[in-house]
Amino acid sequence: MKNLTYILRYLVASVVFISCSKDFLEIDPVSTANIEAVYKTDKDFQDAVIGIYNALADQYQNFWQFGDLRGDDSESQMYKGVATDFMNDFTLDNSAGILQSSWANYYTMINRANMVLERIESADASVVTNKNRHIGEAKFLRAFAYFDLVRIFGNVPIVTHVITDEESYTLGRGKVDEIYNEIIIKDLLDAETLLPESYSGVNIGRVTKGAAKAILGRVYLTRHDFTSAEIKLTEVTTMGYALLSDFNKLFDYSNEHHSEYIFDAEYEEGMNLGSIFTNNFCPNVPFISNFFGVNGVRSDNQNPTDGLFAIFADEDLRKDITVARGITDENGNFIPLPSQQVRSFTKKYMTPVAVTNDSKANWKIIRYADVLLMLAEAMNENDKTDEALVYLNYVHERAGLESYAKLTKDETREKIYTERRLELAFEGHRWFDLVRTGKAYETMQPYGMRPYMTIFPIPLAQIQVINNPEILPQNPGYE
Amino acid sequence: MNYFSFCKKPRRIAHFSVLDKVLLAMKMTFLMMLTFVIAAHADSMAQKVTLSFENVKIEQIFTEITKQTNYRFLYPDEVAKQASKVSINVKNIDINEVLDKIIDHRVMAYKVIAQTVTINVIPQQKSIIKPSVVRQDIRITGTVVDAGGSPLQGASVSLKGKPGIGATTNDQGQFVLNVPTPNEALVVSYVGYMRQEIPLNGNTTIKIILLPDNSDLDEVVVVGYGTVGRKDLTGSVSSVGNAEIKELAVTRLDQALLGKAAGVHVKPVSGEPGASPKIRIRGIGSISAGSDPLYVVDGFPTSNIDNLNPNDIESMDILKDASATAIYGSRGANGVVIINTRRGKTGKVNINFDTYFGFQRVEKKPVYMNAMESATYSYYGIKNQNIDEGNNVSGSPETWPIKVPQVSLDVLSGKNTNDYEALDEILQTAPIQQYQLAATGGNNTIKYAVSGEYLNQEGIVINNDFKRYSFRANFDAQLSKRLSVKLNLNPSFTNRDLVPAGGPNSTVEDRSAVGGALHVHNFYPLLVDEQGNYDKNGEYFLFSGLEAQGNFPNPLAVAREIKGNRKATGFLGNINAEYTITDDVKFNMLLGGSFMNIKESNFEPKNPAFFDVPASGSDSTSMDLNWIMENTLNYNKTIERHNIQGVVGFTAQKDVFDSNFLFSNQFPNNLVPTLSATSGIITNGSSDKSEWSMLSYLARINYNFDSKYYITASIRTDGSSRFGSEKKWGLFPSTALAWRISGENFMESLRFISDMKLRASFGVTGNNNIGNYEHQGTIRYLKYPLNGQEASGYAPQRLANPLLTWETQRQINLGADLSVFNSRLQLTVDYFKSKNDNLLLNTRVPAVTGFNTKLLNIGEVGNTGLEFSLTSLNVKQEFEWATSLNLSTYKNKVLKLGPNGDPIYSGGSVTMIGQPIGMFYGWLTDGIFMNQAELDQGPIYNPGAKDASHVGDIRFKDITGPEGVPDGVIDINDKTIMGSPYPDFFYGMTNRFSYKNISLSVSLQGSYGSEVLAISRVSSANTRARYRQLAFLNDFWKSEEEPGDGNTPRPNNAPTGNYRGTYSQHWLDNASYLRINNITLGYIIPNRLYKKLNITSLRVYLTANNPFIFTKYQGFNPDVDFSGNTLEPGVDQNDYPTAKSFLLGLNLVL
Repeated sequence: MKNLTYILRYLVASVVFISCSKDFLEIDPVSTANIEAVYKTDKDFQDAVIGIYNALADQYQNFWQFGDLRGDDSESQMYKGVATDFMNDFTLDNSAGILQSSWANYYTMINRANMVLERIESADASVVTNKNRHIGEAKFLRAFAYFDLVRIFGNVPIVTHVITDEESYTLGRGKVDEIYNEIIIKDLLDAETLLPESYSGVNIGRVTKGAAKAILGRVYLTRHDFTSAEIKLTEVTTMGYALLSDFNKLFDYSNEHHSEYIFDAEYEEGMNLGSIFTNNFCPNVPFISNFFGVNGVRSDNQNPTDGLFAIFADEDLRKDITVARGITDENGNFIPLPSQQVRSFTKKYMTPVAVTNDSKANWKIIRYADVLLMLAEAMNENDKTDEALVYLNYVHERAGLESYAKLTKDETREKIYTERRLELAFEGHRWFDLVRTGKAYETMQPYGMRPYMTIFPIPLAQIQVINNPEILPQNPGYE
Repeated sequence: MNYFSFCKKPRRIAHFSVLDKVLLAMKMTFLMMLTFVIAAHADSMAQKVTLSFENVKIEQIFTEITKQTNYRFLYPDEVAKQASKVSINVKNIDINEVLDKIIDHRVMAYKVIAQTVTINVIPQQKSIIKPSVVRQDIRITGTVVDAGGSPLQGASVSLKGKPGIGATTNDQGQFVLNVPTPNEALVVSYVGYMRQEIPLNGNTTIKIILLPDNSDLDEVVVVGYGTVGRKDLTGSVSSVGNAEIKELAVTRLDQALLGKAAGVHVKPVSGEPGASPKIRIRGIGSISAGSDPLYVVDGFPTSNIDNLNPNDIESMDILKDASATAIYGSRGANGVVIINTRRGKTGKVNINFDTYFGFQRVEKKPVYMNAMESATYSYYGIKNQNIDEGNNVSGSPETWPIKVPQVSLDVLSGKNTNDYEALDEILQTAPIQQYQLAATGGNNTIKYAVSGEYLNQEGIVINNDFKRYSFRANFDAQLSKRLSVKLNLNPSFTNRDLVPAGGPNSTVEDRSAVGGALHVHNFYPLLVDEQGNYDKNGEYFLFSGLEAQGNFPNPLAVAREIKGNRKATGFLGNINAEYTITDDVKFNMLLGGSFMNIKESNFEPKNPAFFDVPASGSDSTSMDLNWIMENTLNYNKTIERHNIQGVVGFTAQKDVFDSNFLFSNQFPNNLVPTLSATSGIITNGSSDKSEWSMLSYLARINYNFDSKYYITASIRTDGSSRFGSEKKWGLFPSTALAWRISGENFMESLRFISDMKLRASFGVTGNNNIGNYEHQGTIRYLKYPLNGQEASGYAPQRLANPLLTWETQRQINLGADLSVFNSRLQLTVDYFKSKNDNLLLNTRVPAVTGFNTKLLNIGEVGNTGLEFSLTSLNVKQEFEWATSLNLSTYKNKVLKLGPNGDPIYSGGSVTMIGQPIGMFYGWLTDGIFMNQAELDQGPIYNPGAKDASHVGDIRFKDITGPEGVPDGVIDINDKTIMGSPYPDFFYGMTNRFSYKNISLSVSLQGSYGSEVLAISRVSSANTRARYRQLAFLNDFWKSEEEPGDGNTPRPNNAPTGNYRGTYSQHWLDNASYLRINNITLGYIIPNRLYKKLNITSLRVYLTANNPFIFTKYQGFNPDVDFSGNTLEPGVDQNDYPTAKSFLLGLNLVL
């Protein structure tokens, strides 16, 4: 019995030892932090804003499919019967991955921004020294996400605070007008006042006051509020932005923060932060990829259409880099694309790439030439055609072309529309310009577009998860 | 079933000295046993009996005593034979007194331990060899050993029909017996082994090999925290023994379960050396928390058995029903495999040397198009594309606007006659060899089993292998009368050279040697000289920018140039101290630690075959440390006919996992594959640490009355760091009832029934594989480049869920065991029904939350199943034939999913309520449109569009439309469940034959009714000839006049009619199969040939693993499971092929 006593003592001791050391079953993660431990210091908020940009960078890897491939200037010559082909020929169904990932990416941006905006209010203001800037960036990025969302999907749920999943099931689709008025424009106006005009050092690349104004201009133009657009875009012209003298320098990715740069989705090579554009748009032809120094996967995407070739004058300095059917080697010999299937490509994103999909090429979200063309468009609509031509000519003349003079308002409008195609091809604008200007259906109908296709279907997965057409109905035509 | 050998010419041996030795040994043995008896403290609570017999055999009295009490009798045959007939008439007398009366103490001795009466003949020379009866004219000497060659001490050898003549083997398994005539037969028996009859046929030296008697109801089954006799089992437990494991010559322990145990579904999903099969016990009870069973190695619960040497294993007991697994609480829901390693035995040192070597080859090859077929396919594909585009194809192909690749035309015209099989370049006949040296032995105080093993297996894909060096030392020490200690040490080391063998091969980023080899057109050589002709010493041919072929890395370069290596150093050690407090109560303490260190490195050089991507390399290590402490009190008591066994315990376990990796693509050249070459420029890297801990209290009681009525109840409570703060502790109870009908008096008349039992159980278990921190709201580190530099940041990773907890399983089991004809035929049937709820689901939440999914305990899945296992000794003569057969079926059904019950779509699979997890989902096919009339009838894919269905395209079934009725249009509405990855049933069967020295065993296994979704067909059967296509597409539709086989659509370089639509039935293959998975032919070489060399026994064998497979499946392996994801089972993606092998082996006993 004595032994038994010893054993019982041992047992009790070991039970007590382990179960009373309360930590034994409470293990906090070592390699990640609990959410409650962050969103406190200025650095925390600076880092949390990086999280929003990160989602932006994810989304903009594929934005070209909406902005370019859907339109008439870009096509999928190589891939048949796959998603990019469906995007191109208007057969994309609502289960397409691009729709789901875009919806998710934009709401991820919005949620991360909401988190920053909510937590920063309760944070110790004396610690958060750059509070205005953090709020400005978060609001800009939230507005920007909503702007893309309404242009892609139409009415979408409005989320302006951190929500629970219970709440999310009851959230219906907000009206496009409401989203513009209550979120996009308001947030951008706030951002405009809170953001600095420029940054230095490691902060270069964050959104600026100029970016807020420029995007606001695009928003007003999209709303056909040409008066506000003109005011806002005119303000941008006073901020020191200037066109580069050489159009081709825009696509020299060694210096991307030049005088024409306003806001990019940033990508960088060698740190797993590269973009896919170079590989994605490079012809899958060894002598061409070798010529540009593009290693790895080449995907033959974003092929310029014959229609786009047709509007380029031969002397247009933008032509060779924008649309090509081959390369001109160092001896001046033109070597055409050999493939029967792939007939054209764009050189805008060609830059040496060491590792597949790790290109340093940024995606230009808005640049000064765009601002000038938008301003021209707004002025023209505001019956200031002569002044509009001035701005149009800045862009037109840089391309080595003769300036326009004495055009009617309608002629000017057409010239501006064409100039946008020439200047901004493969930069994610064409489809949205077509929709914005009401020319989508007439232009795209031969490619398979039906009238309701100015917006895309709500991703099937979202319809299914809500599973209530009263709350989240599908867009008309896609049911 | 047994191996025995004859020796025609008896050797002259020193008669008396050997006999004396044997007798001395027998005496010693008896003395030792006696010591044990004294030490064992006889049972004082003897029972009383009433007997009245006149001149009967002593056995009859034993039987009556057994009937009246629960005393059992164990005795060798000669006891019955030597005992004279007895008469007794007593009433209510102490059993010991009765025994004293009926047992002749001059001839026999008896002892009573725990109501078991063991009677032995006192080994007196006179009583063994009776000169008065026997003419000592023929002297037989022999050895009795087990299948592994170890001598069996104490085996009883007697002369058939002459009960008076017998002997017992000494510690070297030897016996000497004098027999009257040369044509007698010997009867050899030993507890736990099958009794043998061996005709002498004039031989005087004989070797007898006894095989374990698996049917023995006294067999002990290891259950959690204790053991129980097979006949006393209340739960459902399957066992696989050492002999079965050895026979298969498997390289991994878990492979030995294939086809051997009912309810245990083993899928050899990869043929890569060292790869683990997928094991599912009683269906799939979890969607996202993993369905792998828990392994308990010598009492140590672990998830990793990669480094175990199968030869070291004594037994595997698979706990299946909840009453058996509930003692493992929150880890029991997927079943528990209890593995015990071999331990030392008292007796002489026993040294075994085992080895085998042999070769492996690919088991089965899919059939792809040859060069001419590919070129033809290419020609028609371009032709049809031209036709679809409205081009004129009446002229020669050169005139078509879309050109046929020149190489295809060259092949068609006979200019290019190349026909290389790329698969043959990356596959090889691969050697395999294993060596093991083991020793066992011991005395009363210390017993030991030590072993060392070396295994070297090359892969059937070139440049990969698996080497294992493992050591084991198991010690059992009796430190004092009350204290004993078991110590197990198992250091091990494995080294695997890896090759990127399987996986998709459709872009230049993919690295898939098998995928690439399947996709290369036969008219392209893999190695070429400067002119582009085949040259085995040439450069890699570049699959880049070819008109006739998509771009991907040269598969031979993938297999040759990319170097991967994984080394795992493991150590498992535990010490188990047992202290006998009283005779009934024992205290056990287990302290154990396991350690697994894995180091992996990879290097891919810069090579044109890899599109000149910069050389890259990585280096990663991980270390897993796990310790356990278990304290249990065991109680074992028999009070009259009441047998009680109880255990209570407390355990604590903790695991710490550290890992890191470094990656760089800044290698200046291909010379140095380690990161030292990058001058410290590391382009990616991380280190992580992750921990879990667990505290448990457990209790179990087993009670039976008279070995007839059984009840078992257990309870365990687990607390885990993994569970949310609101759900920290889980409770897992179970109970089981059994009725051993054969113990009833009314069964007396049915003598052919040896054992018959009904079982019923219910229990609750859990699955705690829910991730270590999933209940906590954590952040995720992210980055974004600003001004060309990395800026670090973060974002919420998930929201906290304090309610997150284990998954719960409730299971009932009904079972019956029947054993008839002296246990020659045994049948076990089990029915189970389980329901798993609180299943962890990464539930899709509206993305407006900023998250796509949230982990919730929300799903519910049920499984019901039936399991049959049958063992039968069909022929028991000189020729023996035994069969074991098992057949299992289970039905899986999802009962609840997510808040709305939405199906989960995942690749080509769907998980929806009312259906099994991960059913194949897509379009059903319905032949092809043979002509315009059929096309006009529809249904049409994408009507009006340029990729709409054409004549010659596949016709899909119009299931429904947007209005809920078929609408003549094929679209997403027509997707439906198109097949099942689950077999209707699966089975295994082993037949063992033996005749004299020769033994043969044939094992087969298979499954029926499942399908495989061949995702690899996205490139290998897509109607475009840019990748080599499967040969079954050869008989395609060419025109109305030449419609082909009516199921194969026209090739088309710009596919129409949804042929590439993911996913459809034409990607499904019937995966039913029957595989002869093992044939082993063994021969024991007569020991006269090597006796001089001091070798006790020598056995050679030939084994063929997987020599034959019968299946309609097109790919390599019908058990494939590329994704490893529960939601997407049965998916093929150019997986590592399985191998067949032919081995020559040798077992040597010194």
